[in-house]
Amino acid sequence: MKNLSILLKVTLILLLIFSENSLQAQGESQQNVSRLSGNFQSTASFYIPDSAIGAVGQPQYDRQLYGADAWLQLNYSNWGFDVGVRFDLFNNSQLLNPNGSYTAQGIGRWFIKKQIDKLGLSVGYLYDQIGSGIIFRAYEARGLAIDNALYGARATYDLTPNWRLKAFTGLQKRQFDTYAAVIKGFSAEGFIQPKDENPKWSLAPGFGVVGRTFDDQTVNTVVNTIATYNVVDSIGARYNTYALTLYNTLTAGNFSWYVEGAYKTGEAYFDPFAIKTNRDNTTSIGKLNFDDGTTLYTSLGYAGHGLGINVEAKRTENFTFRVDPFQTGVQGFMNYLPALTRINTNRLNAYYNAATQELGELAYQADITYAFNRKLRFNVNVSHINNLENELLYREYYFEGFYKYKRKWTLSAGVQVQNYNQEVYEVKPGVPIIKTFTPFAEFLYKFDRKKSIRVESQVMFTEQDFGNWLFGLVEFNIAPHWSFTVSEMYNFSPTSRTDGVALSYPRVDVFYTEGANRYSLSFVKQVQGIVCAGGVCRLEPSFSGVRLSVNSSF
Amino acid sequence: MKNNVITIMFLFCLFGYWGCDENSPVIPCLSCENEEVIIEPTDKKILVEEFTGVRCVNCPAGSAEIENLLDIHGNQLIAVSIHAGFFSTPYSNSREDYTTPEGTALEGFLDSPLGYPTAVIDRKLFENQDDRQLSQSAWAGLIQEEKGQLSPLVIELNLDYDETSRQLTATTNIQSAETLTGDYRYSVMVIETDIIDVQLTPAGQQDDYVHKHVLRDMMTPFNGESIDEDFTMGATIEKVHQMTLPDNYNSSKVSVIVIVHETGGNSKEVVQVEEKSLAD
Repeated sequence: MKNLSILLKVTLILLLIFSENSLQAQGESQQNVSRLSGNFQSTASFYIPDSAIGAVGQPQYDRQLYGADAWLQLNYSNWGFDVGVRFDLFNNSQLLNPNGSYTAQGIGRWFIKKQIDKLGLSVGYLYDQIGSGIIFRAYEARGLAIDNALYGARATYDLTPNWRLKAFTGLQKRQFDTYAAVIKGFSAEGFIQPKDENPKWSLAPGFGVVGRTFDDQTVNTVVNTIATYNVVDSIGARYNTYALTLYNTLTAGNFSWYVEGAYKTGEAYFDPFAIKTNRDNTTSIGKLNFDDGTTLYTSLGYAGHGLGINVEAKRTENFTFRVDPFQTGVQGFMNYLPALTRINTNRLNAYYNAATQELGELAYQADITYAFNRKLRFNVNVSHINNLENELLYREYYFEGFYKYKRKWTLSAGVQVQNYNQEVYEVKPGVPIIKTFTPFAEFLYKFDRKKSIRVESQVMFTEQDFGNWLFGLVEFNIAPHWSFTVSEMYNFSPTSRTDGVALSYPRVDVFYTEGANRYSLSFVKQVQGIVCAGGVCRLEPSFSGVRLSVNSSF
Repeated sequence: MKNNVITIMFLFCLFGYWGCDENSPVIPCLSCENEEVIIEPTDKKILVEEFTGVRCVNCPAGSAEIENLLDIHGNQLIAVSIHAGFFSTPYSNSREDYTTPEGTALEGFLDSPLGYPTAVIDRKLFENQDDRQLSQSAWAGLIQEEKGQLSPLVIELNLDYDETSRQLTATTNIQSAETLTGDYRYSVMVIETDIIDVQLTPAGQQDDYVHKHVLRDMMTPFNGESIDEDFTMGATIEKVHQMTLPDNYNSSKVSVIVIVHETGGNSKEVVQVEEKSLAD
């Protein structure tokens, strides 16, 4: 890796030199137009212990006092090549393990891509997916330290302008290393529509298959684990697992219908809720199971005449697909199962999140938006998730109305009702289902073309977990540079979870934007909670301290 | 065109079907009803350090799994439960606080857990693992992998306990079967088992939960004492430690664990471990 990083640094310098030469030659040849772009993102955290909110007992609070994360991505295109390199930095970082401290830095990604007529070639750390990602998705979600890039090679071939074949092989990225399992895949995707001048419908069908081969070490660990099981729990193990998918998007007029069905061959996977019989005939929870898996997903959408409707349904059974069956949390996923819940942004509305259940769920969601006119519109969202035993996991009713008065002010208000199975989502056996009722409102007032104020408030009523919460935020903007925010989250009428102590989580932010550069300085008291990226979630501990961040693109 | 696509997809499926045919690994059965379970004696014993807490609702499941593994591996496996981390704060009705400064320091020393239950096996960073803290799903297989290894060290542990003064003396003789050149440290843990106290379980707070193998104290610093003597073939290194057992320890349930582990570089791996109970 060290040699590679030196090689990449040299390559980058050469590219910059070529870039300069090439820029001079732009007028001479359009084909040799060079383009250099990139972005930078960094956050530095200064930790201030606060035992009242549980922000103690971690290396950052006890002794390190400081942590930082940073990424610099550079992309360069010329002579039909696209190349890129990314520097990743983690210093005393909580991103990988919210309870731990991770320090490493170096070249986190590089890639080279070239299109030669109908053939496209890519090597390096590649992001890609098949269909909606149910059988394969290599992606990055920095907030959760997910970087599932495929470190390998990919070839695409355009059979026709509307049909493309794709094949890839490689290993999944694991911070600055790779997992041992070999991943290979193939897909064929197309686009079909009548040859009319104004076609009224189109199809976008696709087929994909992904194979994963475990290394000897992983299979030995699986085999050794199963060997300790009683006969009643004994299962098989395999080196190879395959996942296949068929999908299609039908578009007709204002309607769009997506459907995908996926099947995964049997493999040994860990079920944290399965009951295992021990040698002395007592039982314990959690064991390896062996099953094949299925996922069916469909989405029907309509947009037109001020009305937007999207209805989704998904059934998942034993569709855990990881590069290592002993990986837990959000690491090691090879695929992505779409989340069928509303992505809430308000602080309290987003407090209880439903993570996608890869072992089994039956989920529905309907989202309706209707605009009466330019001033008034509303949004209704209903989502419902059960497990395959028909037990409720999550239910949400959400209504929000928006009213805009000229260009002077905007008011939005609504209510959210949730049922959240904390026992399953946070693996807390025996706790009751959390029931919340959360009215909320937001008011934006523009003093003039530059100055505006935004006030936001939510009240969550619940008898479970921490009890009732109140959240308030005031944001004052001076365009185009400054933004000041003050917020407070307070759990009035606390429960026994905090021994009856009401907790306060104030926050102050200052943002400064200058062109494509954005800086922020924040004093933060953040409550423990579920943090998600598209249904992939994890429990993160409280935070207390100061954060400084810089974002830039060029 | 369409025929070409269908043909290619058909061929791919066909190749995929042939590719699925593999020789699956054979699963040995250690606990089949009709076969006598034989635990092969090995020189190298295995240490499992479980991190737990009285407020950790899932930890009883992990402890049950540890007991199951002790049942399978017998005295080849040595377990200690370390109360540390944010789940270990005692309840107001807890009889005692089982956290110790050494236990808290060990949690940092042996990597921070991603979740609970969690355990460290032989303080080893196993291939394909991110850190030493392992989730429950990985314990059984990795302990099985550790079995059958030979250790160059033989630990003889003798305990002398005076009931009147409650003075405990642990004398450790470490013999080496070969000359070792690395840097080593040794740690001496005092543990107590079968403590009855409050624990959060899936059914709620259980007042009479039986806590097993609880780390009570250490006779050495949390990261061990350095061994200044060389491990030369046939030589014996003797270490003597003493402590007075506090009154709240049930001496008949107390045992001592001696761990010899690597140090220097990134390795903290256990070379040999031994346990002896005062009741023995």
